[in-house]
Amino acid sequence: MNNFLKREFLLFFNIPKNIYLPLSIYSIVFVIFIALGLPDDFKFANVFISSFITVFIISESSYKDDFESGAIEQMLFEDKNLISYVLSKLLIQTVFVFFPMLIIGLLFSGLPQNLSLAQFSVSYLACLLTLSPFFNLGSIVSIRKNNSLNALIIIPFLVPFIFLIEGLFISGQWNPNFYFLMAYFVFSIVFINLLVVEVIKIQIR
Amino acid sequence: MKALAIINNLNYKVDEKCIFKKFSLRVNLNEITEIRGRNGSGKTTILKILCREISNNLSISSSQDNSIAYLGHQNALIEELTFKQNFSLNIMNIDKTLAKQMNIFHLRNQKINNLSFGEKRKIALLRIFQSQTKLWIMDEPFSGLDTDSVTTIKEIFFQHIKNKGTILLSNHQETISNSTKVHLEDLGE
Repeated sequence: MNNFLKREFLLFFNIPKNIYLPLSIYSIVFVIFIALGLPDDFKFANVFISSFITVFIISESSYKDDFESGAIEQMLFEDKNLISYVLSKLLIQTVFVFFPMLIIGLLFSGLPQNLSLAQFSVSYLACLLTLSPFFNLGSIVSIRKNNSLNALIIIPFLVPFIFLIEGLFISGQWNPNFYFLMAYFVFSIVFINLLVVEVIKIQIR
Repeated sequence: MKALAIINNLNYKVDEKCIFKKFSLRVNLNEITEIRGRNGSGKTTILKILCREISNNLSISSSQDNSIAYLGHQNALIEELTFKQNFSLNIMNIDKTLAKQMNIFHLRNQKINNLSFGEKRKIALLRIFQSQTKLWIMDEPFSGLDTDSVTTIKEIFFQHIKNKGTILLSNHQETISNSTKVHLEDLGE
């Protein structure tokens, strides 16, 4: 795990586009929504639509470079732990991309009425960390087909998620939406990531 | 001679095309095994199957350390990074002596996307040579290399065998003396 964390950290550190590209996309979509002057009801919709688009775009290239360069094939045949690889990628992405997205969101949209700073931060990061494995799964399933299936595959998983987001951030109902979100988060982090690893193995073999 | 992996009567089809029919292979320890064959004969496929077998500890009849250093068709290098940075990703420092022997040490601060195909291949090979593992598995290691480089690589191979290592590779170009050759044309359908 330690070696994979170092690898992912160095990849982000040495290739700045891995950080500034998703943050630029996020900011641009965000600014477009602000420029449209939408009513207050849409105040947090822009945060989540920008986040959806950004996570979707990041996921397109999450594994693509390593897949095309042969790095994943090498890891697989050298019997390295692919779960550690997948989780390290997610962790470093959280630090370098998701956390700055949270700060940008807070700076421009403030807090929802019924949520404290801690509640908003935890639930927003949980949202991103739930979404990311779903999009990554779509990306890796269709990696040999230029990711064209990515959006289609994850739609069924996203429907309940969208209702949770609406309940938590727009309607401001912490209970029970947050607990459902946590359940979805655990499902995504554990099960979907395991599925991602299995699909990687199938794609390589 | 002890066997590292044994495949018996393997049948393998891809999209209804028969790649292997009753194919058998024995890979011995402490020697070079070359899998030779025409394009599309299944050299890469058999290497992948062997990797899986060895990783899963199937058909292993030896107590040797089973860790593998693998080099596929691709070099597994990040194009935007330098040679040195690529080695840092693998938590490795460049072995100066070996890199000089392969005539690539001077490229250490060059970005991979500025290098030639052969130079990239040599960098990828250096990672294998520095890996400290006994078993090296390589898919077409000589592709894109000039004659001098091929000679150097062969010397490193022979040194590895002297150090009780094992090499398994697919190859359709250079001939390696003192290696066990498996010709897929003769064994496939």
